[in-house]
Amino acid sequence: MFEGLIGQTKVKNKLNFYAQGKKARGFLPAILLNGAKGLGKTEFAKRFAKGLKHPMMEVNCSTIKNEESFFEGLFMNFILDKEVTVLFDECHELPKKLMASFLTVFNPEGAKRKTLEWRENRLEFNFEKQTYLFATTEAHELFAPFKDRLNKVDFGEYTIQELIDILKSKLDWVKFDDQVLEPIGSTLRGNARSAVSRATEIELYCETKNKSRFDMDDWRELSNTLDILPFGLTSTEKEVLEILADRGECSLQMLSAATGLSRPAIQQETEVHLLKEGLMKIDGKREITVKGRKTLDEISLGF
Amino acid sequence: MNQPKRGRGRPKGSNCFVRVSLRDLNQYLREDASVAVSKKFLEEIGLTVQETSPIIVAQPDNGVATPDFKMTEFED
Repeated sequence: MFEGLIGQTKVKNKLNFYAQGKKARGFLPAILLNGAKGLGKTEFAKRFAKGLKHPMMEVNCSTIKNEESFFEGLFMNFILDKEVTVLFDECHELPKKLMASFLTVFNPEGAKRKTLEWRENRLEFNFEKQTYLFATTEAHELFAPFKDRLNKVDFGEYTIQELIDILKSKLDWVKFDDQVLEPIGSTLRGNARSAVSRATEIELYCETKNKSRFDMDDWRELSNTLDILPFGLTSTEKEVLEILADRGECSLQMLSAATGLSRPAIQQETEVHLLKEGLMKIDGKREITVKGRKTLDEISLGF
Repeated sequence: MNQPKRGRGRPKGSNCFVRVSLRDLNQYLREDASVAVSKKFLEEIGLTVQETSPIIVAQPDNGVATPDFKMTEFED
């Protein structure tokens, strides 16, 4: 079912288990695919749906305005009585009232069918025909009783080796020097989508230069051209490191004033990756680490 | 004794009008469309109001908006 997909062994095991369950019992509970962006939730959902031999409907939940929009606009026309796997993408965006209606539908009591009374309609959710997948990057924003009704499958970060394997699988005609792959992998932030994007960039570079071999000099040139930084740092993260290096210990307020970013933006968008990579530390105040200083030196020397 | 209501009414600084160019409006309205304007505005540009014409307000679309979705069929 997941041939050719690299990494996420636990996800594969769980989804294989559910797929076998579907074969044996004929229906499945609703599944929640949980994980950060770029970890492969949609791709795994597609393979899962393909394995179930049903078409997949991918619904962008931010466009479901209300219950009416879902039940009348989508369910009655495209789901009711159909054999289909439905993927609710970014399901934390589902309207609250619809999520409340789903509490009845996805009650984990093992029923093959569930009928929902909605206005003058009786809407039948037939779990032998339909499989429901929910995907989100923000599981904490889901209504807790609703989340409890879903069988959770957590996506983890990819290892550097897995990311290298993904990259190489997209570029089988390029010969990489041994020492170049590790630095490339370290800029991908554990993210499969980044690995695919990087493969495209390397492909463009090699085609432009008419090369089929990629070495450290090529990587330096590509990094400088595209402003790819060590650890895949963004320019904002680099700026925060520079402020910390320049000013020494800083409060969150001070960082906010120096960068022009809000405090939550710094905490949620910027500091997380710097802390994870050990480039800064928080011990009351924010401070750059030795590793952080070394990284800035590398950047100033041209990575 | 009745206390005067506090905290009600139009907050200072807020208003109900926005500025929009006639050119922009003409893109959306027919030449004979009836448009609501304030009497004060008409007085400011030197026009006199005789009687307010009935205003036709566009009804909101009651059709149900279908959410965005993508269907993928798999070959055997």
